[in-house]
Amino acid sequence: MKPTTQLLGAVSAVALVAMTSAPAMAEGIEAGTIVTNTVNVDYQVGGVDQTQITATDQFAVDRRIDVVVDFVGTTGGDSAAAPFEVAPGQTAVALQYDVTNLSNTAVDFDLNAAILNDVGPNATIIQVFEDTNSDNALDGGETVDYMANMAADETRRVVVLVSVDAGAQDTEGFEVHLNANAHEAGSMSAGGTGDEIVESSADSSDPLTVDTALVDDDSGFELDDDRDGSDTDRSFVEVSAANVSVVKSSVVVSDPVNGTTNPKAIPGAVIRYCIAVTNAGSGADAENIVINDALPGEVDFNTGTIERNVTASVGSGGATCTAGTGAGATDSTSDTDGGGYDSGTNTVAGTIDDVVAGDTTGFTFTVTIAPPQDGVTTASVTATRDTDAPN
Amino acid sequence: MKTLTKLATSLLALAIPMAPLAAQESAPVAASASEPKVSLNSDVLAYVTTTDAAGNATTSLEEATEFTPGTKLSFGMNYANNGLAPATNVTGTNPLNAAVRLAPDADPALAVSVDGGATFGTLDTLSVATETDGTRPATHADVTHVRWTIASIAPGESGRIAFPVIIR
Repeated sequence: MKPTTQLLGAVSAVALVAMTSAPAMAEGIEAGTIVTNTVNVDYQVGGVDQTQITATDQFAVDRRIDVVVDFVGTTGGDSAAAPFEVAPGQTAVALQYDVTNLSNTAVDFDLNAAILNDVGPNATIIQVFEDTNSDNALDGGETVDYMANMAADETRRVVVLVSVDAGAQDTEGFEVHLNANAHEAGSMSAGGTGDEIVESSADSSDPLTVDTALVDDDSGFELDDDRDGSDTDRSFVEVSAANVSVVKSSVVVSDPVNGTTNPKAIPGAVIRYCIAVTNAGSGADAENIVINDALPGEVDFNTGTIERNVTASVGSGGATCTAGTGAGATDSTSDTDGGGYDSGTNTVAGTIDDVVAGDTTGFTFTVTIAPPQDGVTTASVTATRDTDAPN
Repeated sequence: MKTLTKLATSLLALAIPMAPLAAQESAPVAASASEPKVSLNSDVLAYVTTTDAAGNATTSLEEATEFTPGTKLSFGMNYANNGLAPATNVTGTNPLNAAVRLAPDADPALAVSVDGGATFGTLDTLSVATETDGTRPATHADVTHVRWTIASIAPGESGRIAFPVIIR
């Protein structure tokens, strides 16, 4: 076992040397590195050691230009099936891409974004910029339309800011493409064109000449050419709008004659109003819903009957609210409980919580049909109807 | 040709690919009649694969011109005995440049070192230390030196000995 022990001791010391002499470069040795093939030969003639002889051969590592653009789809957008969602009229939609320099040398990147397959939202590109601190905003030191001096293996965040037309409809979509094209390091500037890196027309016969090979493999993606020193990725964006509809229905709860059995809408009968809000959109919540209902003069508001966020449904017979399933609200219009009655304008007002896509939420209260002695007579109603009838 | 056959046999033990003698690059240096002399010339060749009309692929060694990371190359040593006496116990040691690593298809019988040239053996007998005080079997990427030996080179005899590397 002794030889093994010796070997281990020797190996552990050298492993450190090996690690320091071969830096971790995932994408290869830096272009221009001189590599030497050295051989030392010892030999004997007639049993006598001769002087050691040495021979060397050298070459320089060529440039290997490669780049990968990758859309950061943490909130959707990598596919049409799982799109990045935006709202109609949104003006600063930040689409994030990571650009990685897989070359074995530092390069600049020219950045170009385009809207494709826009089927309605009329999206426009506002700006394309380097976003090194990933805050979705252009800061001092960050560049627009290009990135300078990206080291080998370095990754930087790029943001494409787009806006969406206010008239965009729910489920309409578009694609945002970002292309990063390798240019000579330090050649690009704001508004400048820089020097695009091109493949060496032929490998130099001099092994010490640093040639350039474009090796980006984009053969699987039809939107970008293979081996052109650039790469493209796209995000799928879809408009998600709330599609809100409101149905208001009333049902007679009871009347002074029949009670709750087949009640009729006669003076003194209690009527329940149901205002049902439905969001038929694909994904966005319906927010900030405010209800205002001016009551007709023929009915009197029943104090303390306002109820918000009740279970509701909409069918062929209209809206149905299930009383007792929501949150009550006092009659005051000045408190913060989300509901109230203004006797001056004879109006019931209130809010309901956000309605998620595909859901329906109700707002309900009851009124009593005013007796004739209140000054509003059924006769006058009838008369109004007669007056309106064509003769 | 007898000596050549003998040489080939000794090389077979190392099983190192041998290029044709035509691959030899430089003319041997003239030696004095009394002083035996071995000349040496190292080279870097590329593996070029061509496919003929019948679809048969053949790989040949040619002067390398492309040196991008990932490229496989043949590091070779051309030797010649220009003297009048046989050169014996010929040992060539090739420290591998840090920019290249031994290719996986290198002959398993090749004598290599993974400790900076202190000890040599075939790769399957070597191990390297890990960061957790243990050891693991050495891999081609760990090789720091390659060694080849030839028992005897007869006067006037020459050849090429080589191993494959990949640019890191």
